[in-house]
Amino acid sequence: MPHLEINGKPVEVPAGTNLIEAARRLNIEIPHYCYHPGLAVVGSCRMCQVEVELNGRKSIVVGCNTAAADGMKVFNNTEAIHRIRSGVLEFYLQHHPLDCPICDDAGECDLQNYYLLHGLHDSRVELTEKHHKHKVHDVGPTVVLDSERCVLCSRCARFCREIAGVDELGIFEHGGDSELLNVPGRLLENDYAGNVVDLCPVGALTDKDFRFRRRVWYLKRTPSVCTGCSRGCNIYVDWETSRSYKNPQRRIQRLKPRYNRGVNEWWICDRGRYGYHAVDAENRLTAPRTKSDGESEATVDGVLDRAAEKIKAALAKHGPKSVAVIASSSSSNEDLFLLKRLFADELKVHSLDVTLSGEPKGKEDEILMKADVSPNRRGAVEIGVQPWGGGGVAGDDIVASALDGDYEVLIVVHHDLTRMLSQKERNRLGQNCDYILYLGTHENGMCHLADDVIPIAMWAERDATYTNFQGRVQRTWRPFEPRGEALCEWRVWQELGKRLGHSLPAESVAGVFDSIGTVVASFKGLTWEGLPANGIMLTGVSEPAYRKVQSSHPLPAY
Amino acid sequence: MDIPDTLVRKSEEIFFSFPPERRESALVPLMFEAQRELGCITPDTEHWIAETVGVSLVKVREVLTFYSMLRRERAEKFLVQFCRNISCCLAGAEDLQRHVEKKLGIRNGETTADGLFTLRYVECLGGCSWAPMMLVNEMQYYQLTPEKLDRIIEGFRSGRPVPPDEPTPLLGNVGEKIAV
Ligand code: SF4
Ligand code: SF4
Ligand code: FES
Repeated sequence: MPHLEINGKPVEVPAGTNLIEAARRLNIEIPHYCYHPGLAVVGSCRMCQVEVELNGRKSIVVGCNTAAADGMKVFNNTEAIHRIRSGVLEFYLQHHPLDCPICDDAGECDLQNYYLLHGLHDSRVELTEKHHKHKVHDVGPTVVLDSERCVLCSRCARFCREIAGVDELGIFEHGGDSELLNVPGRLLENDYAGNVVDLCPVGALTDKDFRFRRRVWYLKRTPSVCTGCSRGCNIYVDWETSRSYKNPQRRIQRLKPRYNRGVNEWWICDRGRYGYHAVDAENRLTAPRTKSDGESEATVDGVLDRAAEKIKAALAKHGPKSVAVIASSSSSNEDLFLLKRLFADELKVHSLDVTLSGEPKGKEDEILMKADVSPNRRGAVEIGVQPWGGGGVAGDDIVASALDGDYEVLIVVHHDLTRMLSQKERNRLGQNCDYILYLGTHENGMCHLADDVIPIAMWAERDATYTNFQGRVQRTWRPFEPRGEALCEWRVWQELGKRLGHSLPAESVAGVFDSIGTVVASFKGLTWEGLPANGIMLTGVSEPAYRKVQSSHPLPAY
Repeated sequence: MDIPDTLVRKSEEIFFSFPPERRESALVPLMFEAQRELGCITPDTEHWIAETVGVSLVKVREVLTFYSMLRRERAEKFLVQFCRNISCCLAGAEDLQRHVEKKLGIRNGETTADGLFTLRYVECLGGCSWAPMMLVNEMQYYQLTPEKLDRIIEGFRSGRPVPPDEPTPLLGNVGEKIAV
């Protein structure tokens, strides 16, 4: 392990670490454009030059392509380095357009940032002499290119080749005419295209979904976890609600990947990236609904009272066999734990499952995306929300029995059964179940079929934990309150429990999680307070071996 | 598209001269051959090249657009490619550019009214030792002066081209011993 000094501060790093990464450990930033820790090193931008002293010899090297060595002294802040960097920057800015006031990247742009550190020169180029290149060029369905802003770092092209495994972007022409572009007739349209916007150190690639939505300095950032599939990529929710003149309905402005070495490294897929629109979609359920007469306006309390009555009556008349629950693996660990406590442990309901064969499936690849689009199936299995003890009834059988009229009360969470049933079957289900309670997030067929509907909070509106397919328990943080009267699912079970005379543990999500940690074997020892930001493996499940997140057939950088 | 048999045969010869796992190395020679046969490399030819070499379209285009000697449109009668890089500029290329523009009455990228000359400023052509230099079709002219330029252009106009210059060991080539 080489020991070295950077700006006079000692640091020890693993052999092979380059100087940019070594400096990062000391919180020192060596400016760079082309280098990215997730991509091959090309050493082309020349921004990362530093002075190095080794064995009495001084030299100027590129920080990205120089490995830290024992006894090395690195200087990031000398007069010579400052001069070199302003020279490099002057070249980059020579033909750069004066777009900052209308550029989405302003505020998080490395041309701006480094210019403040090392530039501050006046342009020697007349405005009329500036070269012009493609502006507002559609490189793909989700991304716009302004190649006048591009610094030709090639990160985006390398991402497509090395990580997504497709050749969609290239640098064409030569010298001053060089331009990053797609090939005519071929678009940037891989499932991970959005990452190039994050990678672009300047405002050359911008996201159509975010363009002109907000100045980035107004955004607030909350760490979270994508619920788009069972991988559970770590993300940031960038949100802003105070500018009501700009689409007041939209609270989340964009999602960005959050580094997690064991899950998604620096990337997320586009399905996850743009999936957040569901949170503030027009068809969000924001108020309870009821079909029962005599109630002009449904209230959550009213619905809960009635549901409790119906369950009580059914249990009294026909026992636990007359109640069925189709829960969801999109619910959080806390939701599922309280649901299991109430229905399986207390009320002895046998017909309880999360899985239906007709559930929607997504695309799966070897990079990130999983076909299982629910974020918490592993959690449901560990907690035991599944046909239990041999006597249990599986999801599909619950639906079949419900059609046959075997249940008085049917409770459904999330699943839109109506999409799996024919019109005739839908009618039969409505007629044959005395009472259907639906807990959902969006307007769908179930909202019409059910007798009562309770709107529930979505992932971005709550503190919750999900267990991904690896067995990693990861939490979300709540940036803002649930829409309308929507409430967290676990609260519904707790309230229902109270009405049925069973008090379920804890009044807070932290309390619920802690009691999972005392009851469920694979959660033993886990506590809410002890949850690290990048998640923690279930007890007894070992951290999977490191795997570079990458296509199985990557193309070489060049 | 229809690729002439002669070109297909030629491509097989080219591939044969590289080890199979280095098939990509055939890219540039194949492009030259295609250009010789077809006059230029159109998008259709790019597709064919990508397919037969087994590389992506992006790669083919990166190579094609990088080299000034590879053409994407059929050349005008005389394509004058004039280096505007640092060595040539230090040796006076900027003044020569103004001279040639005046002489031909066209600017970068334009073609003379008689269709004889197209002018294009390009990046380094690899003749820095004999800067300033230019390329007319595949003929190289070195150490240009306004007078030499006039002679060369008149030569083409009159149908008696000035013979191209040969690289001379004027300043010593890379790898060659410089006599002292
Ligand atoms: S578009 Fe952005 S990421 Fe791509 S080469 Fe240009 S500056 Fe780099
Ligand atoms: S791979 Fe799955 S978890 Fe990751 S961003 Fe995509 S949908 Fe979300
Ligand atoms: S980051 Fe080192 S040369 Fe670009």
